[in-house]
Amino acid sequence: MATRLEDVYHLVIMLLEREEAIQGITALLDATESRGSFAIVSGEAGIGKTALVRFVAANAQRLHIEVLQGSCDALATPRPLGPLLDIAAERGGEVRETLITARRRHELFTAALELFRGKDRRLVVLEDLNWADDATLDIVRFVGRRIESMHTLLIGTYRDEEVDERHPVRLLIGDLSTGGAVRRFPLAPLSAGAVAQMARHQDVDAEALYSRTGGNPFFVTEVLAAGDANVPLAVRDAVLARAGRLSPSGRAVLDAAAIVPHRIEPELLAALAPESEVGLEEGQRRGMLVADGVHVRFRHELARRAVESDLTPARLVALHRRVIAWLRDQQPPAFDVSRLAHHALAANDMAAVLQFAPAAALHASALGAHREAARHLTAAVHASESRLEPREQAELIEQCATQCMLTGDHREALPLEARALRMWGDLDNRIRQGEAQRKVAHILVHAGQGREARAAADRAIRILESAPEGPELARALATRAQLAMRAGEANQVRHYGLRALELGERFHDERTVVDALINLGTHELEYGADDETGWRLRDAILRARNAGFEEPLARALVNLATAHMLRREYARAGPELASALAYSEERGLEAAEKWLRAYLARLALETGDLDGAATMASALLRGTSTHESRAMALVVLGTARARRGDPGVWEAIDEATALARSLGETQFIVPAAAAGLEAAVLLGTRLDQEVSTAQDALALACSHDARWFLGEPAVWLQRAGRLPAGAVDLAMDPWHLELAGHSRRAAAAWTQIGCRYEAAMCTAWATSAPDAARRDALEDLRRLGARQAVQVMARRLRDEGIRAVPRGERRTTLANPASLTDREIDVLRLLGEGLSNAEIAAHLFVSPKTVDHHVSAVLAKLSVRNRGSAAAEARRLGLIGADAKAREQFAER
Amino acid sequence: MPRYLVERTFEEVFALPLGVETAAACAAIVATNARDEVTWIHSYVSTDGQRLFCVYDAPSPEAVRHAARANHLPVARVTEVRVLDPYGYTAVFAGRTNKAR
Repeated sequence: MATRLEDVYHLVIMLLEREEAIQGITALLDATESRGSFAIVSGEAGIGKTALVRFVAANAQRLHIEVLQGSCDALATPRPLGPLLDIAAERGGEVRETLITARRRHELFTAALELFRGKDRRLVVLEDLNWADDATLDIVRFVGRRIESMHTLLIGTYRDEEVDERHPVRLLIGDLSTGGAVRRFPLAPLSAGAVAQMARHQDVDAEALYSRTGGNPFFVTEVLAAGDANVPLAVRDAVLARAGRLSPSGRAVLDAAAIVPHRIEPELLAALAPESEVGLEEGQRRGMLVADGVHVRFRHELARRAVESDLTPARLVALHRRVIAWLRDQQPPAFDVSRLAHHALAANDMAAVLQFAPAAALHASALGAHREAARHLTAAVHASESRLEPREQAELIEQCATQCMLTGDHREALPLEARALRMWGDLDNRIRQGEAQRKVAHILVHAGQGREARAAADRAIRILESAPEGPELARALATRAQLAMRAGEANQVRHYGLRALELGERFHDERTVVDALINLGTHELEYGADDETGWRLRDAILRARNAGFEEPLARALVNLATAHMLRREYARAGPELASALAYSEERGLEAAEKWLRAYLARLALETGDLDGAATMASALLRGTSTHESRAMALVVLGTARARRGDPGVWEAIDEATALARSLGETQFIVPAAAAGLEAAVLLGTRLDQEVSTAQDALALACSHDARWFLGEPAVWLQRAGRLPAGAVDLAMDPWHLELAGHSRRAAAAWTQIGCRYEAAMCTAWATSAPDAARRDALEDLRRLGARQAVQVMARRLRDEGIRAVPRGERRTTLANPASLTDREIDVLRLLGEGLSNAEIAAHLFVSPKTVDHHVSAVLAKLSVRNRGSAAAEARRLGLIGADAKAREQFAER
Repeated sequence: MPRYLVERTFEEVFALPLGVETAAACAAIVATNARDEVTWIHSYVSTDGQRLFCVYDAPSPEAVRHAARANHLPVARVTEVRVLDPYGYTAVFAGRTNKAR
């Protein structure tokens, strides 16, 4: 930390209006005795984030807490894991080596975790996360999820003006915010009073100073340090005014330091500027440069940018070229291929770009920094125009497409891969052409264009079939099988899957074999006989584990769980979802994790937990997610809202429908349509529109023989009276039972499976069911919290002439210490008035058996042995009042 | 942020203690709501003390329910509302995004 008088002065002043943030962060630091947290300090550039963080760090050091600090570089393409490598180097030990050489994500994450977690309390600071590379952000996300269990305070800073809603840092914060260990500390500009106080010893117009600088501490400091009575219009001018006072050698050093982002080695400085020692000393004396013994840097990034912007293009190019020459002669770590690539691009040296960017991309990709790798390769592709042979160029373009895909940027990836496809075609290389076509199919799937993907995969197969057989054809067939599985094309899955399996075994391509096994196994489990064990899927799991294939293993675990979900075998699905989720979280497999969370929300919905379903779906939709998980979560949310009568039903369902349409797969289209129809029936709007959509969806499901998906839309169409004839012989039980009119058996089946809502709806809707059973079903719906469903069914029962259907809202108690349900309280109240079970039954219009059941439950919950004690206990707890008005159970609306 | 009206009905009379405890009770409710980004605007109580109508700004109906549960308050009906003010010319149907929250 700097100890020069000027800096201390600024530190004290700038921290004047930062009490809240300091207190908050200090509290979090104290709390690390028991739990860790992630503090996010944000604000515009120059607002004093670094000053605040240094202050906290100094305090921590005084308390003998270990402090680790790293910051991200403002390189166009930052060094992968930059700040973490810096921290690891500072700390010593083997972590740095492991970070550089780790081959698997899991190794990387485990090693990085060691920087954050220790036996003793620790403070880790990561500055300027707006410039962080993807690998660093991945690790921060991984750590952020686990921070509560560590004795560590992680402070991250970022500039909010450089970060819009879609910026990776914002998405990261969104993902972590649902956890609860994240605290945000946005910093505001200084007030006019604080600015005036800073300026009180100088002859400058404090009001003008405040209005021009907007209260930005850095800007204010620069203006005051320049010592001019006039206040410049922009920070840049203030900095340049200061720089203008330097001698030529001082300015030369400043210029040289300005073109190397983040910081510069003194030796490099010497190579770029004559008399660098003299100039450096002057720069430090004037407060513009800071030297910490190992590196030299500007006091603030804004200052560096200002000086850099003042250099002529010719001077810039010349300086960058000299940097490249110097870096080339160095050993690592100065010989950092990412730095070379950065300066090559800045110097417009295309040959150097071609030399260094691909290597930088390789390095970045190995560490998981795919966004950086993509950027390097994009620069390389641009530089390769008419400088590389077509074959080499096609390779480069494909690599770039691959990296774009790994960052999820299919918009960039598609034209690149398509171009490579054309080039391989021109070079008449069928194998590469086929592979490129298969990759195009892969990209189209991720872009959510199922139909186009299937067509592309078909083309890939055709191309590869015209060449000698090999593993590439096996891969293409496996891809096609997977697309068929997603689209619910039953015959195609077996056809392509078995071919892929055979070829994969023949060419010893274990990865393809595993993929094919997963596709076949999933299909067999979903559509096979009742005793189908999913043996192929389990075989895939075993093989993937042995071969160390992370993503296929996750896919297999996920599919096993979701297949059991499809079959509504919740006893199996629940634990399988949990273990698949644990694996995905452990390995940082975000897409799989989101998909599984969507399924957990669906599980809650199907087992009647409306609250859990809505909460989970809502949480998932707040963060980042894939199209698929979003589509599923929106259906769950829309349905839960419709059943409860909450607002936002159509927003959720319409977006789900649009997503489903672009995904082009039965597994999304049909549930969205069924949800839309259920909502229309429950809300009483858009009935014709939703009926039409549901009929189309039903036809789609039939054409694909997607038997698990037929039942839902069919049942709702039947309830709406618009079921097309002959549509439903293919439906599975229990839907099939209900469609055929066997409502009692259907309801029993639903109850046995665990689908409380479906069971209750089935009974309530059935005109053949006894009135008492239908009223009980209504009560079940009420207990599930399905207010809107209750309302609709109550009206229906009344319209059918059934007596004593409750109107209006149940009253609730503010305090319900014994957690009695509304119904149990009703029973208890009547019991308290001395009624017998039979009398209570008559009063509530339920069967005496039902009342017995409620009384037992009440006795158990109140921990009493008999009715008299129950009544007394209830009065004591304030659950029932002595007021005779309590007889009236239902409010009129 | 959307605005929601929550209706609640109580068996016994709903009574907020008037006095020093009120401020603390309200502050506790506000703090709990903030965790879900829910802002309590104000409430209306029926004169018999049994019906409560509460107005919130919140990101979603689920956030309202979650915060309510954390505050041990029941939720009966949630409706999304917009302010209609005869004395101001507030835009009633301001532009809305299509994305679900």
